[in-house]
Amino acid sequence: MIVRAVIFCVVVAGAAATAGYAVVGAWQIGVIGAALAGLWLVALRRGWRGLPSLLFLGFILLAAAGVALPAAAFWAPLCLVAALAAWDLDRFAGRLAVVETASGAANHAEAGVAETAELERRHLLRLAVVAGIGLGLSWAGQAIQLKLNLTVMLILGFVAILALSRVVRLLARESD
Amino acid sequence: MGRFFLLAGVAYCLLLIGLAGLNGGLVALSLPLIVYLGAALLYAPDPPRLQATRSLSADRVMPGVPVEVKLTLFNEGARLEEVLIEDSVPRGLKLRDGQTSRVVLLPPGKTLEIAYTVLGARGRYQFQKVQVTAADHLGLFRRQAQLSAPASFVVLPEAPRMRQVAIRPLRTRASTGLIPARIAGPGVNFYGVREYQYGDSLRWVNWHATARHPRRIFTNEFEQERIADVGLILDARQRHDLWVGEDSLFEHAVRATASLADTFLRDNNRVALLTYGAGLTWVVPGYGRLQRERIFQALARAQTGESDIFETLDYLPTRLFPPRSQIVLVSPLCQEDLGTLIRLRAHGYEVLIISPDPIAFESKGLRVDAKHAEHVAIATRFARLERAILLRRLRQAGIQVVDWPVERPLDQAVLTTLGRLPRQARPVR
Repeated sequence: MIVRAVIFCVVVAGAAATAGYAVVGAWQIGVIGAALAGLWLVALRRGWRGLPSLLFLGFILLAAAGVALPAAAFWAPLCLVAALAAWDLDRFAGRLAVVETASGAANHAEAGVAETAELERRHLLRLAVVAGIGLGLSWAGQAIQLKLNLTVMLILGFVAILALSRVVRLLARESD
Repeated sequence: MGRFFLLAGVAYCLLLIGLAGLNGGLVALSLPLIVYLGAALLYAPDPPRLQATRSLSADRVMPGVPVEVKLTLFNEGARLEEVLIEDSVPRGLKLRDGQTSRVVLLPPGKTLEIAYTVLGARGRYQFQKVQVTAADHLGLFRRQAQLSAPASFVVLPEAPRMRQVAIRPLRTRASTGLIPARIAGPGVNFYGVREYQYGDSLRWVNWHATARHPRRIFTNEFEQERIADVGLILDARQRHDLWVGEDSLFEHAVRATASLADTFLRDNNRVALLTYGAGLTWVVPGYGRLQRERIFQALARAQTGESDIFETLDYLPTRLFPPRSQIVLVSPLCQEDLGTLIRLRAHGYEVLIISPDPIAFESKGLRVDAKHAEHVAIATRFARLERAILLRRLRQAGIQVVDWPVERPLDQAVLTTLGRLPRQARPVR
């Protein structure tokens, strides 16, 4: 189920990026989106574990680069969220696969399958909620036009960056 | 945590560039990532508080017998959304059935049981830690803990059953046994002839001797049979161990030692074991089943090792063995051992060497191309000659040597070399 979900998300991300660029006639860049999606599917089949992170970054770059294009308000967040979901699911599948490999063949497989199915279901549910909220906010953010003066924007930006950096520092300290 | 930094970095960059470039689209693009990070933070796991207990189906088994391991984990802490439990199986054990790792959702107060079956070769296996990794559902934050769940079991060495080993130590113990004691008395083997004494049974009168000496009567004497002290020495020096594929010469030596210990103890002898390798492992002399268990446990743990001190047999602590007792050394032997073994014999010990043949063992697994076949054949011949000379010199010194090609049963090799005990002396089973 997870693998199918990864494939679906990768296809959506690739299609969104390709279509988004193709609409404005930038076929060459659109092909990159398709290529990234194709490579991700190959990586999924071959079990190349490190590559999806790079491909995810590639999709983010494509989405960010196309944000100024017409209709980007729709496809860029979709591309990014689909890539994020694919990346997350790919890692989740990897974690489950490690356990399956470590435990070898099993007569206890029935219990394992039930547990795995429950975990998959819960993971997909939570990811769907998170991705949905993120996508909705992003689309709303693209649609809403606010006029802010420079001072307010600087303050907001400073607060956002400060908050993010504090969280990062806190987590880094905890991980030590 | 690496994933978190990747996402946080990307969100940070999008936000920064968006703000700097007054591009609302980029800022909006960072929102899904921030939501994702926020959700992960919200569900970040607490440190796992689990209690682990382990039980094994047996604490001592014979090779080829599987052992079932049950690991029970009780969650004393908060709900664990996604917890990876990895039990580390000691090296050398093979997983036969079941799972050693699981990813599960573990609510508070719930118990999880992981069961699997392992198979091991001779040795002692100790289970120690269980690795627990709790993560949020999105897998961004992880908390690790190592739980202690110790347990151990021993795979005893195989001990192919042997018939009696014909030893004749110079000194025996007082109790009745099966070893000829070199003393006249009640027994079944003919020992000598002496003049008839009052009370001797007429059935024992030696009529041939009596006929030759008028007016004197001679009677037969028999040899007493007693138990003896037997000191087994297992040579565990690293340089004497050879490997051909998965097969080790040392394993054959261990099996031989186990068989000998079993045989000697079955005949009620007092048996001790010394393992001579990286150090000395000593099992004090004893009798019976308990002693068999002690020796087998020691053999199960026996490993080859290197030591500058015990590189030769010069430091063999002979005082551990009673004077003039029987010593049985299980060793492939090398030239340097000759002097020590002759000295041992000179000190009055009856020495028997069971020597697994390293040349036959190694040449069996040798893969030689046609170009080097001739050289290898010559080298093998030289090695064989060298070994034959060594064994002959040992025999000349009065040491019994059983040259044992390990593909043959030990019992057969011992019988061929030492011969059988007289029929009457064999135990009735």
